[in-house]
Amino acid sequence: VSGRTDLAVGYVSVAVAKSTDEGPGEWGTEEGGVSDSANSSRQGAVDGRGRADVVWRAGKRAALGGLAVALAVLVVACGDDGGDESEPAAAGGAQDVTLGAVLPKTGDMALLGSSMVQALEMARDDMKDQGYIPDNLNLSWVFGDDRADRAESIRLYEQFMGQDDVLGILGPLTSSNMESVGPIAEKEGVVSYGVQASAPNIPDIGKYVFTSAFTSEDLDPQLIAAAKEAWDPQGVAIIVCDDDPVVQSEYDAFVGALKENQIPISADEKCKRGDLDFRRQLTRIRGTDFDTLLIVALTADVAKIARQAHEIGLLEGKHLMSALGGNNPEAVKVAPEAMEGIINMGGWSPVDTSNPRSVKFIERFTERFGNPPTESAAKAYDGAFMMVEALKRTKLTGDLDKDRAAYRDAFATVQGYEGVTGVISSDGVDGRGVLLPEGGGVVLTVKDGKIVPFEQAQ
Amino acid sequence: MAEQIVLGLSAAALYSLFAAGLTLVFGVLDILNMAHAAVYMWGAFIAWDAAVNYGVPLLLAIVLAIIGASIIGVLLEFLIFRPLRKRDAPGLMALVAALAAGGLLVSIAELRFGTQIFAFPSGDFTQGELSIGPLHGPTSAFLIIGVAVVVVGGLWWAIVNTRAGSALRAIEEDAAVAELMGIAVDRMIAATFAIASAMAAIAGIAVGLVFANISPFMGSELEVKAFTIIILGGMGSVPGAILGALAVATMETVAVIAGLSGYSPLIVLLTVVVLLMVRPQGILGRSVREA
Repeated sequence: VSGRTDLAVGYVSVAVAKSTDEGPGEWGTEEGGVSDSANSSRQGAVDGRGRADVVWRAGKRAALGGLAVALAVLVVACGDDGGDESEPAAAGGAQDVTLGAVLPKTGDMALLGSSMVQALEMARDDMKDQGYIPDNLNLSWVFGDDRADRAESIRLYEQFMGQDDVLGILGPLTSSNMESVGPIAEKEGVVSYGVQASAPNIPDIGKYVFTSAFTSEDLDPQLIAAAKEAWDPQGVAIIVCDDDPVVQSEYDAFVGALKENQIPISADEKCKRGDLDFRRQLTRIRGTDFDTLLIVALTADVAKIARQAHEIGLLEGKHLMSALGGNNPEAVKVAPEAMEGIINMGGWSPVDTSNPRSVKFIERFTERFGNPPTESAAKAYDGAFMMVEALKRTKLTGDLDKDRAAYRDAFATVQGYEGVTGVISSDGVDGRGVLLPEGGGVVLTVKDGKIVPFEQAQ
Repeated sequence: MAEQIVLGLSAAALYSLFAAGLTLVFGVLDILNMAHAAVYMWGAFIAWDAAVNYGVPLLLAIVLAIIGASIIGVLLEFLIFRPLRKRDAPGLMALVAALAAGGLLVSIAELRFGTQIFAFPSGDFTQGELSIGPLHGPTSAFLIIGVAVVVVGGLWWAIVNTRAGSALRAIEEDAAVAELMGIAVDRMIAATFAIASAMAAIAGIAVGLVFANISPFMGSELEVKAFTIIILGGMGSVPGAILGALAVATMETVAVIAGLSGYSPLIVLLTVVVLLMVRPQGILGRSVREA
């Protein structure tokens, strides 16, 4: 992308960040990792290189907020820069390639998205340090904060595909957003890689659409089997925030597994993603005959529901299960007492000691960002490497359409990539776009406030 | 059933705390303060930050948060609404400016606190249950109801019975005439923002304490409900906000009791549409007259 002017604008936090310390996890603390045009200019003036290989695209609301402080941004940019924002030409002979990432760094899914952004930042630096990118590639990344908003995911996809000429895009995070952008990527012939998009229909969108997430059908029957073995549930009360395709597929899988195991469902209460007060539904559950509460909701809602259930005394003498959330350290922090003893499926264990790459990743991530990685972060880290691994296997011609098609084929044939989450392989050129680590999921629980494998805790 | 009634009343109390401030500002300025949800969020964060990170006793942290949110509200009036008002800017411009200010406040919170969800440590008063006469429910629900009765009821009483309330009603009728009558309009409007913001902060703190849901984006859920409530109750009317909050919470609760919790947003919105077809000004709103 030599000579491309860095046009990213309006990420309002940056204007403010100039007067505050940029904490760990912010883009733009190191060479080449810049978060917006103002920061890009600033970096250029400071290190004299002016090269920006990462661009952070703003969310719509943040951009609107940015209008209100546009003057401040301008002052910061002008005050620090005075130089040209355009990038120097690429090193002679190297092929210019751009990859994209669309993740919710902010918004109501930032509980997961922010750790994924941190992981991408770490992956980018590790690739540099390890010399993972061949000399004949001049790789740029463009990043976008979609705030988990479908319209924003689509806008960023169109921008990355149409203006930035990306070969492939990692993200978005949620299956619902993948369902929106997948057909667009398919039509344009651009790889769309939703590392955590676990809805079973995602790979069916098209041959350019990939995922690395276990589906609910893969994992949830395992959880029910573990519960059956551990305490043999006699009645399960379900509370489900079913206005999300992932949650809906989790719910379907759970209900199927419960029926298969002949475990009665004593209550089936509905809620909405992002609701505040779940106590009315939980109170209704209280009147039913259950020994296990199953929360089927997105991570942030699981923590809220668990805490409210605990505070109205619903969990006394009961078991707690969830599809999501119980494997997320931040969710556990929100409701430590309530989440104690919860069992939950994970596609990766944040306390995995069997894989040295995983152990090292957890150590380094925690040291760098001050918080342990989530499963989503591990998936994003591996995802970034997978994107480049496929790139290394692609024979580039300089013709964008041909290169995108070749990149897709390379992506579909990656085999035996040794990642943090395990040894990852694609299921074949003509198969569905699923790249999964060997093995399967793991049943996790929370013991003394820490996430541990359920087997160990028993 | 008694417990569901208490929980429904608690939800109505929380909604009215948020919506009353929103409708109060609308009554005075005829604009929706789109930054109200951000002030609500900051109220929760100030209290949480003071209590959890700085070890300030909870009650003092709550007082600090109410004062802090009031200051933010007054600053919004000084920096955004007043300059636009003095230039006779169209209401749409003030609405967009408030939206931008709200976005800015959320972004600052993201920078300061991150994007995670935070919660106050579980406290004794958020746990346990209480019975008052035939009513039985969580202690926290009674607490929210009590706070809302005092704060929102107190506001309503003050609007009806005090000189300041009379002045506020005069400004609602016609700000120019009120000024000619010797009312310090700008000062009254600033006070209105301070009161509305304080109420938003109280709602935010209650959500943080009871629902474990403090995050930079916590305002979006309640904001949508509050718009529904003040449209239903009549825009600009504090008793309308109370009535609207009761109506929405009742519909939600009945939906849960009937096993239709998944349909409660649909039921609420359908009711609003039907009501607006019959009574466009809302339950207690005044009909718009041609000049």
